[in-house]
Amino acid sequence: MSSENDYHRRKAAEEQRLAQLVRDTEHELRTNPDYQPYFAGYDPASVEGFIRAYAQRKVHYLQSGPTMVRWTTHQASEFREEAYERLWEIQQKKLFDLQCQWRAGRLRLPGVDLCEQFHDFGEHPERCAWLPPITPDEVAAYRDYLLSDECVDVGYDHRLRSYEWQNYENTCFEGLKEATGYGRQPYHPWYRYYDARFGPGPQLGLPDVRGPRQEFYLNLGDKEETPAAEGPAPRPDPVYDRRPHYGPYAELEDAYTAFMERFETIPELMEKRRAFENVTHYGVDDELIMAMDLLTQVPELLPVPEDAPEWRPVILQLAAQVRKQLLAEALPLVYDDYRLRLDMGLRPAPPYRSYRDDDDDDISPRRKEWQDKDREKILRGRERNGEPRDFNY
Amino acid sequence: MGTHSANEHEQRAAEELRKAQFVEETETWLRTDPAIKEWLQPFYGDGSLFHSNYVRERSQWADLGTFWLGVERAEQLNLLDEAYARLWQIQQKKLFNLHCEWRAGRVELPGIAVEADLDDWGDDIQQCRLVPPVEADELDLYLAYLTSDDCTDSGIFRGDFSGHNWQKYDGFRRWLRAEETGEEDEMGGFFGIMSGLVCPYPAWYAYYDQHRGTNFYVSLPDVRGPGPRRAPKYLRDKYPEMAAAQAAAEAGDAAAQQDPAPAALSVPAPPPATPPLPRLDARDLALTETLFKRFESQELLHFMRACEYRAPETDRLTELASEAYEELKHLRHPTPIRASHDWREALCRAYMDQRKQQVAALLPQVFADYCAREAAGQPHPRRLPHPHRPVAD
Repeated sequence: MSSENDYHRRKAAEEQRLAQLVRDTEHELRTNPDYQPYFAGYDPASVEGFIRAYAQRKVHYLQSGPTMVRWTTHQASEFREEAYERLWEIQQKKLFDLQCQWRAGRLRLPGVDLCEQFHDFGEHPERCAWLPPITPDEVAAYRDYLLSDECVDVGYDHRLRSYEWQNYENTCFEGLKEATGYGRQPYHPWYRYYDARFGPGPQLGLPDVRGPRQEFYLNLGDKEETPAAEGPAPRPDPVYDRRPHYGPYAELEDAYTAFMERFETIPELMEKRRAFENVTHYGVDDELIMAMDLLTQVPELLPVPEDAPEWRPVILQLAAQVRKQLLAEALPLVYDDYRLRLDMGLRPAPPYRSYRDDDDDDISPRRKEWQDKDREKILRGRERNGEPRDFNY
Repeated sequence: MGTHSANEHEQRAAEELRKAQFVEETETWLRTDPAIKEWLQPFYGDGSLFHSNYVRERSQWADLGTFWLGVERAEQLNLLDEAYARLWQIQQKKLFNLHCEWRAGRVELPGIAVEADLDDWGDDIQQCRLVPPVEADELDLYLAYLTSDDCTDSGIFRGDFSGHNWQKYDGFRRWLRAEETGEEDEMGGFFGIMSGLVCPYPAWYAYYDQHRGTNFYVSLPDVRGPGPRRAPKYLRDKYPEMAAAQAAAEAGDAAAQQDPAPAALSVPAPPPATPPLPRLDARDLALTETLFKRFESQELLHFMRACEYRAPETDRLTELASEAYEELKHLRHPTPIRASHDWREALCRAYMDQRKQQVAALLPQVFADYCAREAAGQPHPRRLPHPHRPVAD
């Protein structure tokens, strides 16, 4: 039985269960003597009406309650959480500058000997005790950036903010640095803004000395590890099914069309398909829905400043403006929370929801194991290169 | 999502089982039909990839596709009905001008003895031969009105397309007088309109007057007066007993006009046996809460509070903007939006503008068909027949 079939049968069973629950609840209220005092003195027909409605409501609450509760909690904290995350973009910038200087050999950082450690710090910046704390000036600067046109990653979907703050290799800056990793991301607008506000300028203009050297020692230390290949005899070439995925059709959708023309018996199915695809594939997404949701709750007039050829971007833009305003208002509050913890000698709360369940203090054992292996390789490479077994390169 | 009775849950269960069955039938058909097996020969694998995908899609098309196709067709029909109704607004204005002349005693009209006779023609405008047929230049004028900002009643911002209120001579004049003097006498304002005594002068009539210089018609003196009141034709058609009573009254049947005094009660009504028991409100949330606290879990109480919270009521304009959004989000073509001090007004206008455009695009064909019927001497229907119109119509 297919999962499609399973799904409907499960739903059918669920609906039956709910029907039974309604009936059981009605029965309980009608017959359990503990309930009767509450109904005493009322017109019996109205009591029956109440019992029926009560049973329906109870089932409805059990079904919809969990979602509704999650939603209201989410709404209340949504902006504070994001504001707190954004506060840490300040630290990410400072950390990135330190990374650039560290890579250039300009400074040393306690306990930092591998480039990939910066990736860990990016996930848990609150653990970097050597990172100077956030200052009120920096918060003010971030607020200005947030409200400016340079900040373009405000929206409902948190994946708009999927920048890899410490990914040095993939970051590029026109005229200054190319991306050298497998991916590519431009130097972040916040980083630019910070440079302009506080100087002295993009630190990723500094040469990357440690990166290539680490790579060199790693390779040197890695060689001769793998024994001469003496594996089993090569397997014979398996028989591959070389038929194309959808036969003669370029896309699955084209295969559907051809199939329908040839075999289908349901009348007007092609028309129905078109109507269905028209609705589901175009024009509505979560971002737009949430934009409308937000805008309808704003208790002040919001203008549309100029004519536009299409209404959707206008709505999204308005919602982004409102979000920015709400975030800017939340920033000082979350900064206060941050400062409070520091003043009490506590580590600040971790900013990123995704990593909040991580081990309190350190990277995962598996990651530690990999890094230690790399350290070993580097030290061996150093040795093989006739240099001391340390990280002072 | 709301509350459902046990029966409703069972109906939904049956619906899900029907869907499961449909899935099973589709799966079996795909798997066993030899022609389909052969058709799938050029495809990679054993065809199961195509099977599972097609099963899922077919269910969606047959189910949701049917629904959305219905919505699409209803909307197309809606547009056509609006276009057709608008064509007759041209005739209503011409009739109204004649109506004003008749009230001024300047013309005699065949078959028109009293005001109510003209009102009746307003209800049955498709059969009215008191005014000449629609001309091409009149259609052009109407199209200019339709696409101008003067016309604000399309689609969900429905105007009166019924024909019942286009000959309200007295109502229009009261409204125009109030507009002129700027006074709201006791007939004017909200109550006047709700009671039907005051009728806003249609924007189309005002447009016509402005462009054809005919605003003197409605200001002609009222010589004949309103005459005896008569229930509107569409109500008399629906309730024949009303028509009969009306006819008798108008025939000046004195006996019929005297309501016999109700027979005096000779026997006093017996006193009520006991005072009736108070009724329990089925929606009594306070009692529900009490019962939950006593008999159910804390969690269920929490769910109830989350589900029953009603956000403060949104004002009318926000509601309208949400409705406009619900319509706009399905549109595939770029839909412009105009600058405005209030985004909600801008969104409503965006919806209205594009809808009027769609209706305007239909009018030339509607007019051509009208002319063809005129030329062939065929009567005009109240509503255009259409293959997608539900049979109940």
